Amino acid sequence: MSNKTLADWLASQPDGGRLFEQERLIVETSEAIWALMVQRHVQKAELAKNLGRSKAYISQLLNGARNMTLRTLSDIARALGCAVEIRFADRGVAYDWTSITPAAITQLISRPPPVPAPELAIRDDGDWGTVVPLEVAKAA
Amino acid sequence: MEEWHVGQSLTIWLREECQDSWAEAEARVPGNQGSCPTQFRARLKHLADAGRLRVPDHMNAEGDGIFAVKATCGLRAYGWFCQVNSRRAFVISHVVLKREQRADPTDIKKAIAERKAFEAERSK
Repeated sequence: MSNKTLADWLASQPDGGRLFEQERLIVETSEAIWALMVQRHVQKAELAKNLGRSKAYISQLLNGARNMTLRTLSDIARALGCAVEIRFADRGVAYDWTSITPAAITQLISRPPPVPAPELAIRDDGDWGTVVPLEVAKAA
Repeated sequence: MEEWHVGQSLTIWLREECQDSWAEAEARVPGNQGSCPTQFRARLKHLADAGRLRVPDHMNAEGDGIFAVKATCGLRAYGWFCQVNSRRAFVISHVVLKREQRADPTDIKKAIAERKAFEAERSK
């Protein structure tokens, strides 16, 4: 099984990455819940108590060992004073650096070259040196 | 060193022998935890995109600037945060399959030694 890059590994998966998308959603959800708990100063014990569950149950939910249902997710959000909003995103489009197309690269490299900076010299003005264009220093 | 994944926040790199240790560790994952390598990669991708992972649930802070991204079956990727090519990076020294909760001191020492070698290469 190739592990050269994540993209290589995903391409080799017989299920086309279906399980990976599930695991990705699980880790993003649990990380988002943790971030919200920190923001709201809610400890695991308090969340467990609000949900009528054990701390171990909450730990299992948040580390992916236990499958979280949508109802449980809604209860967790509610216990943290929030509601869940769902947004679907196109796969493979968002922010992957490897999704830059050849057309986009052509556009990037086809900009005109920058105007070269003028050559500069230091003109001796007594105690101070003044930076002037080279041709001005030569003319003096 | 190989680039493994470029995320929104940082790039994950693998040190020279990391691929071998990763393959070896995954080969030892019990058959009834076949989805664990996928979970492991999903957590690494999240690290690359978000720039962080929850400690200690998804990642351990092992001390001396060494961190271990972990999966529920015991897979651990030991590495450190730094900058590579002016971009935030997490460099993975090696991957192991751990049974115990506590880190093996030899794994932390190995990661520290890899980091020293990496920094020596960069200063040339």
